[in-house]
Amino acid sequence: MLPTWLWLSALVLVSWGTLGLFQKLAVNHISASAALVWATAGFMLLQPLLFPGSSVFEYSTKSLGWALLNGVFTGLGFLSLMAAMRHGGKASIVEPLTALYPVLVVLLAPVLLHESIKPLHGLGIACAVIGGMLLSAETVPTT
Amino acid sequence: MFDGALSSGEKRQSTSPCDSRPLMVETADDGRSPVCEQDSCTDSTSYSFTTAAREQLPEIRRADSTATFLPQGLTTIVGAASKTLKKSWFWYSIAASLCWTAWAFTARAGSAELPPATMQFVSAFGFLLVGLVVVAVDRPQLKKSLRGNSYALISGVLLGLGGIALYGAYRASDNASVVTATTSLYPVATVLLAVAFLREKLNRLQQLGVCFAVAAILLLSF
Repeated sequence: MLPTWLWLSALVLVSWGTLGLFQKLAVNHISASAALVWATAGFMLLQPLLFPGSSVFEYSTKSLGWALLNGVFTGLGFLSLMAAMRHGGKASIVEPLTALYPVLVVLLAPVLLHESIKPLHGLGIACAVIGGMLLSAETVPTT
Repeated sequence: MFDGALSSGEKRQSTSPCDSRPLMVETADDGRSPVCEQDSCTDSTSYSFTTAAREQLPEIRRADSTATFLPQGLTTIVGAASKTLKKSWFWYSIAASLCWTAWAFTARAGSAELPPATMQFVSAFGFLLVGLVVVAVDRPQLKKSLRGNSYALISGVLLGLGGIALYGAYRASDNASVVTATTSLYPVATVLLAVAFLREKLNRLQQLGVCFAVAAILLLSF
């Protein structure tokens, strides 16, 4: 029997994998900003499942502020991604291209979090740069 | 094939290299199409397009001399990628990447104290805030398309569902890096679904790019 974490990871893959498909389908019909508003409604539908009760006020204002800011960047990223798709970006290109953001995280981590870059990360950055360039090569004939 | 001979993915030249070849007229009289098509040219003789193009087009010779300094494949990639820099979708993608980067740092800062479920619960209000600002500033038409609205609504549910499942996976596993590596492969699912259902086509370079992107995501997740 498969372990629980693997089932849940598969659910993440399916959910976020199909998310890109639905984003593209949505912006084929409506604007990116309208899609964001409806996506917000969908996202808020799950809030009752996560409701932590009154314990949420026991945490520091600083941490709650980071969490709120985290949501703001999720919203802005979601909006930018759908705008990219609305302006002609293919889901199959935009999604892997934006998923290369860990490169920036790894590059900024030594400055912001005083973390060091592992040798494996250097190879990952090289692959990301090559991958990003290849994904952007739109004008060669399609197969 | 002819496009390949011209290098850099350039558009096909209007001057056909077959024009100066009487052999083509003869073969056309033999029942072949009088039009100089790629396949008929290469099939009828060993005289290649590349050779013909070099003989007739001085531009090609110039391109070839450049190619001696830069490998032809690299020239093609750089040329194609530089054209993409002029497209707005590319810059929106970069903006999204910057937002995801900020998302990663704020997630790390917030989750130092907050448990994952509370983190997502609170961050949803930040998401809501962006939605409200967009409504106030952009005033989007929210009743334009029922189908479009439904797709967007589902995408919001999927975003939240994926987040909840991710937090659950982290809680159920002892090895966080394996969960990160496994779940970070979600763009592969998007690519497969987009090709299957949206009929999106990727050229060979982009297919290779997806492979490199997957390798990068995996390497960076450990």
